[in-house]
Amino acid sequence: MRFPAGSLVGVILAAGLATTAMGQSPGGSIQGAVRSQTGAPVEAATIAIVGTRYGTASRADGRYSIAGVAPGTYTVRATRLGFAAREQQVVVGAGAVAQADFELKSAAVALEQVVVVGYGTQSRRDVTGSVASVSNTDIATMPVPRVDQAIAGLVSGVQVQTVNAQPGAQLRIRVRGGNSLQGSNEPLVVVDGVIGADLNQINPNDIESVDVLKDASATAIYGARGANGVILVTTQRGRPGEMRFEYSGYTGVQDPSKHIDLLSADEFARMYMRNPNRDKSVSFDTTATLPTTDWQNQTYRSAPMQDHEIRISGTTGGTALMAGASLFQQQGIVTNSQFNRGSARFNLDQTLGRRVKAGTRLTYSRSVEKDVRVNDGYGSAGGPITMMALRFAPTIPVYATDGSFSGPLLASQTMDNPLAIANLREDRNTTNYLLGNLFATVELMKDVDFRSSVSYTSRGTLGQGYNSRLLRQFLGQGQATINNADNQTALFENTITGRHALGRSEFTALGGVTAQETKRSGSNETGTGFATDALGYRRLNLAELVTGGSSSSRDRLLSFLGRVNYGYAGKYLLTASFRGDGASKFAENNKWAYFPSFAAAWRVSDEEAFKRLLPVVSELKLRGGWGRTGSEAISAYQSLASWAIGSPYVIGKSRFNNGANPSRNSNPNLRWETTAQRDVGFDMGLVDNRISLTFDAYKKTTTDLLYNKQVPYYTGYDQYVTNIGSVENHGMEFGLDTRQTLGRIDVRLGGNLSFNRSKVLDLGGDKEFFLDGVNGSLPNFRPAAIVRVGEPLGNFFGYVWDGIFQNAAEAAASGQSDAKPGAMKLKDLNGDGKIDASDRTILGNAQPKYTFGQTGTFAYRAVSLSYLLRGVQGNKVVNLNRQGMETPGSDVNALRNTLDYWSPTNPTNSMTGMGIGPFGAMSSRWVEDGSFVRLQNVTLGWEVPPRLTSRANLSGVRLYASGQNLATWTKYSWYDPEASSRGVSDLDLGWDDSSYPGVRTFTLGLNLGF
Amino acid sequence: MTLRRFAAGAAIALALGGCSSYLAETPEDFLTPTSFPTTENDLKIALGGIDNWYTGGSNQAYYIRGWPMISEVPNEQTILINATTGSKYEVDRYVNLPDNEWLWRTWAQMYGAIGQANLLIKRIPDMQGVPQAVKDRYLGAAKFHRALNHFNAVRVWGDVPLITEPITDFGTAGDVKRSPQAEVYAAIAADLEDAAKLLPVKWPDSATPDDGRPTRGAALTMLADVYANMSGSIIKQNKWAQAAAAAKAVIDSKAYTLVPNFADLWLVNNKNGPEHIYSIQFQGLIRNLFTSQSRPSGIGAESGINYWCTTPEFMDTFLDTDKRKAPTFLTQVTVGTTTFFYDTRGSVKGFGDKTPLFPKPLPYYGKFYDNGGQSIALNSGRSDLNWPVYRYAETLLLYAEAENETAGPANAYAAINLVRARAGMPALAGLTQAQFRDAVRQERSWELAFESKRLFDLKRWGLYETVVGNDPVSKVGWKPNKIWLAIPQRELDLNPGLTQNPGY
Repeated sequence: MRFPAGSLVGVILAAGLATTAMGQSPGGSIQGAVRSQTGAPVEAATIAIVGTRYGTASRADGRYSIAGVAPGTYTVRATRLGFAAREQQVVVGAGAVAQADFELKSAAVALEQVVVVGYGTQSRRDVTGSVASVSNTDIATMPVPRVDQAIAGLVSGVQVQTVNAQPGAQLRIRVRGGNSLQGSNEPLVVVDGVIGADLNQINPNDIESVDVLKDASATAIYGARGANGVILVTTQRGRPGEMRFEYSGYTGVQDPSKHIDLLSADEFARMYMRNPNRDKSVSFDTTATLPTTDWQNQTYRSAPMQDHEIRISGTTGGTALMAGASLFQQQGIVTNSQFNRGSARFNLDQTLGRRVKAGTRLTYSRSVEKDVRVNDGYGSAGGPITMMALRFAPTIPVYATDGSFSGPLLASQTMDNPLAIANLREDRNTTNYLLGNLFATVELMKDVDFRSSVSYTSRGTLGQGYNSRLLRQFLGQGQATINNADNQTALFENTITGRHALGRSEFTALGGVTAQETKRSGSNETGTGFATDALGYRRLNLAELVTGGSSSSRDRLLSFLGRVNYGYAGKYLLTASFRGDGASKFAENNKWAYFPSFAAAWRVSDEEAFKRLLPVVSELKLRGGWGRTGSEAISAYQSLASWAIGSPYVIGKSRFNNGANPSRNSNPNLRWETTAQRDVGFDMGLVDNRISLTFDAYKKTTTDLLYNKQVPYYTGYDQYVTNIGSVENHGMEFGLDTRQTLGRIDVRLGGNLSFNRSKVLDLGGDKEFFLDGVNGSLPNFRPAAIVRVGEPLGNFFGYVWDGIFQNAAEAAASGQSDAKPGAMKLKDLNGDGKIDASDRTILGNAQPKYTFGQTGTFAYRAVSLSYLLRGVQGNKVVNLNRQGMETPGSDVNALRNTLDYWSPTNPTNSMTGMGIGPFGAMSSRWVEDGSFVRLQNVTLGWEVPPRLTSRANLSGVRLYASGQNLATWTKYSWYDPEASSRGVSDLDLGWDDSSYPGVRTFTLGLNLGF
Repeated sequence: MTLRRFAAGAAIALALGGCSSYLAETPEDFLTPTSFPTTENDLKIALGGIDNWYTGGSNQAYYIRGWPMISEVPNEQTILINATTGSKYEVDRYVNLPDNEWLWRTWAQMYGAIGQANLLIKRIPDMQGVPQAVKDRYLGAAKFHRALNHFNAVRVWGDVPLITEPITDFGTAGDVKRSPQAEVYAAIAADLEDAAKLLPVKWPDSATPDDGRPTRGAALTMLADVYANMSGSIIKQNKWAQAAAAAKAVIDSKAYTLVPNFADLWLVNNKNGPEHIYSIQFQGLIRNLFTSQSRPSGIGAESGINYWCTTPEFMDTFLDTDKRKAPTFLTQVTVGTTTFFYDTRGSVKGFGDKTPLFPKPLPYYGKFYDNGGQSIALNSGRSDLNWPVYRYAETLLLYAEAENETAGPANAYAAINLVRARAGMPALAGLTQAQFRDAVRQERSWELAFESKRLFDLKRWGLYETVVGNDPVSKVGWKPNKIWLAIPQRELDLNPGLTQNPGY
């Protein structure tokens, strides 16, 4: 099937020809100023002449003017987020200037706010589901490269976690916890209606608003992709008013937020020499003073970042235009890590006569990410840089006498000098991203609109890597890799919206059909055996052996959707929605799935009796809803049996690379994951709407979970994907926003608090299954995590550490295989007199008990100060880093707590004896409290008064200084408690295995309007 | 209204036009068992893929190092010298837990190969359009691989799951139990009897019998080995006559000869020579890691990774006149103008920078040393040396042993004396059956040192407890009855119906 794109063009053209050009006649004008209660000018207030398309926005000095208004009497309306809307009557005479000034009152409840919901918008007043909105003004104060980073801590029920602080890395976002075991729990991202956009490639300063759909009544319109919540990003359209040119930019510096306390060279040498089992090929003179190499200081750095943007925005005639370009550059605090992004945007909205509106949202970006090796184990491959920066012996100078990077302490150690890793290894990823959307809305008849939209997303990535011949991973060989991936998605959506009023009843109905196709293709080449490091990946042909491969897949979705909103007297609101999704990736008998939802709301505060009884409650809406949503959770072809191609084999002295291996059995019954969710809540405004309070309670049950279930190895496989079991999430969310005036200071204080609990209800008959958690780095740590019925997701699993064996008798009696005085003692949980697999238990959970955010903004005249505190409480993190650094007298550097090692004369229970390493399997020793409270952002801004800038023909000049991640209060002992080395999955959450250090940032910024 | 009709028509056409075909899924970049393998070339890559379980996947495939780790290291002739903890230490000192990585890695790969062989064994007979001779060869090869892996597993773990059908329903996979060893052996023997009939002496496109693909000689030699094991102290079935017959069939095929100079056998340039019957192939970037782990470090360009040594006691069992002694043990190395010795002599330092961890100097393996053959340093610490599974000298010794057990030594001398003559050892004559038994056992220890034979020989000879139980190194964690390694914990966790071996 092909998209009939031609027909769409036809629709637009036909409509355009059928209309006549708008007549323009000379008239009067309206002008005025918008101020707040404190008298401060209000910028960017929308001034609209009700019932016409005339309008503009106030400038930085609060002033506005609208020209070309035909003589007559009008209602002029001023609206601005954070203020109550105001209207006044204005009489405009021919050629006259009418004055209309507004004083806006702060309001935390924004009933008029336009909320973006799936396939349409609603006013906040009419929303029946749980939808949170973050406007551009809330996030503009934070100089961060990603939209999702900017909303961290601002929205209840939404957890945004920096699992990897490396520039350009993906964030982990959860809306009301994770439903899926195996599949992605990341919310669906929709940018200007384009489903599945990449937030890393969207410039946050292009954003108008971010709306988060949380409950099923709101997300069910996204059907099979709605289960994880939906983040709707709307980019700015051309601002009302004349075209203006703007510059904005910032520059900043980043530093590691923490330094791990390790042994100095002297301490290291003394400890080493005390170890009776040390390698005697190396020895130290413990009476001499040794210079210390602080490998952390050598490897980490102060790193600059900067952002520059230009933008033109405005409206002339029927055309609204927003076009801009930006350049963002961020060096990483680990030497040789970097993220650069250039992007351009073109947003056009064109009125074509009275019936047709058409427009485009087009953005292109190119990013280059240079990564360093982190989040990895050790093995014989040299190790990640963040491990070597800690473990390399402090007695070794950075460079050897011949100028090369020094090797490890012992010739037998397969460790790389961290600076060698930084300088001799390249890992470069380039992404070219195009997201384009062309749409037209046609008024078929009064109150009936047809909308057609064609979107195209193209994402091309090029990975280029080289490992030097001098690094352990490919010692003496060198290896270069090239990876190309090309993803293209076409989305064709057609919807019809109708509105009808009947007495006090109002109906809105939406119906639509959409089709989406995604094609992925990729290729990779690997060259191994380089005679010289000179060219690296730039000339793969230099390699002794070049191997390559390619891949290709296609998946398609076909959907029908509909929604009906009914309101009676604006007080009683009902919403019902439905979506049917068909997907190619599921087996023939399970291609289609259907997702309904229902919601109702009662605006209690509109009842006269209520107004009389509780005048302090200025607004109260009770909401309740239920819906079913889905998750695709798997990639294409997972239901089909497969032989994988490409393993190496040798016949005689000939090597072949096309060996075939069975990789998957067929599963004709694979189907969607389905999540049913109930939500009840209320929105409340108090004291003239100066205080806004939102509450939601929800319960989600996910069934038919897709999971790569582990199977015994004797089957010839290690796992297979199947629909097993069920998981439940329930929780509560509170949101608070207040706006008030203290003297001449505008004060805005807000906060949010979210609780979520997950529970595994069923695992397809199994009681539990185990997870590796540790990847290949510590094979004897497997299994290290468990999913068990009745327990939450994210449980760590292993032995319980119970101190240190104090004497030989205790060791002999323990039944523990490696027992000896000074060794780690484990708890014999079942009391059978020996330590074995049955003594393992759940050691803690990686999911937080609650998360919160607290914001404040204080504005005095042109100066404003804002902050954001963010907290995560009650979660555990496994600090695998310590595991290799707590052997007293080791040949790698160790933590300073090893100085207090056990000995018969120092009978501690917290550190093993000299030369004795930790127990070789997963234990509670490495499980730490990951709770933290973080001062995420503080920004001090100054709107330069117009009298200082107007002479330079500038307006809207703003200067600000900002700090990110300024302080973290936590018991966690490593770099950053948010780090999660296995990525964003909920099953592998909370493993810190050589993570990238946390980053503290200071920036200075400037906005200019011309 | 035309406009409205047009728009609505477009939407409806899109929605209904070929709905079902729009969502159909056809594989784009992989092969499915419904269409693969279909041709002779398909069979070639499907058989080649079995190598992936032995030598693929960077360091982890089981013949790269995992197999010697569980089949050679635990014996009394090999010692780990450079660590006092960790998974390697655990297997050497018998302190291994059921979650030791070498156990599950090797187990997983053996059964991976068995699973792949099962798919081929089931499909090949039904393939159309492929000549019968081709089908026979590949069917024989698949049966050989299924037998080899079951044989490896049963010798390491005792009772093990016997998997002879492709597993397509994971729902019932948890019902599998450990089969008694006798049953496993019977299935192995049946596979090898079939394979010996189906396989060629050498593959049509190969210059030598051994090029890494199974052959009739390989199947028969393994069959002799299998029958010898079945006749041993554990299974206690008398299959000596069958063992002798299988070995004799190899001898009578005249496809193999002993390499005249024992030292030449071990050079990388001489791999797949006239004596090699079946070897795991290493070439190019698929390299053997165990061979350099058994090589000393601290000797400049010839440095290896220095994990495994052997013992002076074992070296002393060799006569100085035995031509195998020097190639089997590495006691001195000359790099450039410096000569290093394994024990300190005068002012010259002993080699191996971890030697002090073990209280006395130890000689290294000589067989896998191949001085100057290939730069270990330039090959990421690996070599292209093959891993010998069967060579003709073993066929001769198996024949001698089986013939002696069946009918006494009379017709057994010729075979053993061929092996002894190559080693410069005097011919045996005039021995009783018991004396001959001891002689052939001693000969196996000398001839096949470090080739993963010793441990299983001790088991079938009933000497395991005596030898390993009294070895000062193994004794660290040795317990009586600990003759079988632990079933990997993961398998027990996933299938509680499996039982653990004693001692864990």
